[in-house]
Amino acid sequence: MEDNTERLVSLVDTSRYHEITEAVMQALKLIHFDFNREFRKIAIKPNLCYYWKSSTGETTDPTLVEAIIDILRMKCNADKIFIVESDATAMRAKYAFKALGYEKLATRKKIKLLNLCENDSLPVPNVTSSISKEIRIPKILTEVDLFVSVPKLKLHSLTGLTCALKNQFGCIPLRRKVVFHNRIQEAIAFINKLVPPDLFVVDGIIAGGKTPKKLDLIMASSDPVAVDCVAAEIAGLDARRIKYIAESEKMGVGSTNFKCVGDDMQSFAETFPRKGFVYRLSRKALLKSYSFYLRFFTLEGKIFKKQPGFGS
Amino acid sequence: MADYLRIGIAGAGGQGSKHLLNCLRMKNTKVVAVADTSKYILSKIGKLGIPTYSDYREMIKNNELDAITISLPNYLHKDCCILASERGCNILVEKPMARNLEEAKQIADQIRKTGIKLMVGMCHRFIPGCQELKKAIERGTLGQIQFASGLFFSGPFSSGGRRVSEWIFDPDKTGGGALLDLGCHLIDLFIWLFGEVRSVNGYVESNFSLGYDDYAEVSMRFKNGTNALVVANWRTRVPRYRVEVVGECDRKVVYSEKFGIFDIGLRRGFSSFVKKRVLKRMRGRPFLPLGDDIYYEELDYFVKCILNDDEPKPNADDWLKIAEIIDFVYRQNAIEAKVQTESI
Repeated sequence: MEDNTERLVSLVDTSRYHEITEAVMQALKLIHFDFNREFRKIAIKPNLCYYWKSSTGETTDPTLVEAIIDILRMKCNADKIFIVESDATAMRAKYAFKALGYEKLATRKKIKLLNLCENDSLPVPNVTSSISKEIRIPKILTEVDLFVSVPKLKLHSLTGLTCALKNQFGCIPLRRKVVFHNRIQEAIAFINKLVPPDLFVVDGIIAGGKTPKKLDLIMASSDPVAVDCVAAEIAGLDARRIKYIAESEKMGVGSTNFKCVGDDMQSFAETFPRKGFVYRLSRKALLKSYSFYLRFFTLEGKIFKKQPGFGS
Repeated sequence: MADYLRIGIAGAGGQGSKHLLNCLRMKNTKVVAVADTSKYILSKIGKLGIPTYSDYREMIKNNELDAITISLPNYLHKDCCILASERGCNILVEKPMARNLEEAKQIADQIRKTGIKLMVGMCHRFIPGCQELKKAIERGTLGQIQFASGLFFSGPFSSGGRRVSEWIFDPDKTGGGALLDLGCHLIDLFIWLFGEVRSVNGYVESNFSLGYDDYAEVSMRFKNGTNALVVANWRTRVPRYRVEVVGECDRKVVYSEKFGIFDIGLRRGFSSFVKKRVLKRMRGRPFLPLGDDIYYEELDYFVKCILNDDEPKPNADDWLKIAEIIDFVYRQNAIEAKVQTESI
């Protein structure tokens, strides 16, 4: 029999609730999240890509993470909670934790902040491709009872969309993740296969689109592919054209067969700050201007006569 | 003195790379040595045939330098300035000259003792719009100046995805945040435009919880009757620069949404092949099609001052005035914060 709960995606409008905790609770109830289980050790992975606050639409709101911690402590007797993130090419996790308010949150809630790059990691058990040779798995993520991913809903220049699947890319315990950028689609699908989170709570409170915009949305699901399909639809993108979604489905990470529950998706889709034709045009113009500079410098010598420099 | 300067470059990262390229473009400078901790940068510079050092102390000791440009992290400025002055090197030091007032006084004393020339790299004085402002104020075309405001929104986190040096996260190594990093430019600009300061009041705020300010407001009253407001902000992702001077008869605005000239840093962008070709062809000529290069103008002014035995401005004593204002604002806010905490 087909398990429908695996593909349920709940959408909750946070503006209807006084507290963000109530909204998260509602989102979890809608996907029939089992609160009766006991999770002693929990890892939470927010999206901290740079030193920009959540109000810029780029990083996960610490208040949402705080709400999740409160719920898990209350309902599941969570004992040890870790907030995990790894360094990125241009970002150091320890400074991002500090600058974005996660250090204060950790002190307040008595939880631990972990930089995955500075902790133990394991090799991939069955090496199947060139990517599996290079990727290692953070040990902590294999030991936890519950792994919660708290991605940010935003657009991305390289992959088109950043949501549930792309957030796991930050689990690779490697500082220079830029080495995977030429095969990022494959890397995203692969890391999702290796360390699949049990629960996804998407931060769409302020979404990062053409501009940051207040969307007041929280999504929850246990299927990252389904979440990304919904996120793509909200962002006005065609999920079939986002390669890592197709790649992940092929690898069995999740299913594109989803069902939305809760608030109407259309109202969020209408509010989402989409990037239009002008943006695509400006990107082309930027590339053109770069090639113009290169051409200018090579032509410049032919236009002006050479002047002897110092010492010549 | 010869008709050219033997220059050493201490720190060839962001700002230092601009000084290096400008030195190579000038006819009256010769780059004798470059010091930086980055092996990548040193290897690139080594290919241009310039001796490189991984320690600025070694560079100063082993070379006969007429002048040195210091673009090191803030916490190294004092040591480098003192070492260079002991060796008789004239100094162009990037702002801030020192992390705090105490260090600034030590440097100023040392400069007075050794008699060398020190200039603080306050490039905003060389922005064409600001120079026009200065002329207009001197000519009196704006009438008596009533009010001036300066907004400078930039900082280490404003540019997307740029790697931020680790020392920036250490308050002990930076000595301050937005006020010291950006506010000092506007304070210096207003002192240059309006003269002596009569009184100062300020407010700083920390949103990033990094142990220093990321937003600062300073209101200044000048002896000539002008009131000025300085706002420095590290929080925004969009760089913004705006200086407005309002007189009795007219007003003038210097405005730039993207404050930054053409950046030909060594870290990213062009291949070494293109850089070499650019350097070869651009010697002795400013980047004409790319707008006025304020860093070129700044270095050119410094070199001319040294060669003509003039005192370059702003010097160490000028920085002391700025440091006093910044120090006052920081102390004032520390006292206020303490009073607030105690009352809670």
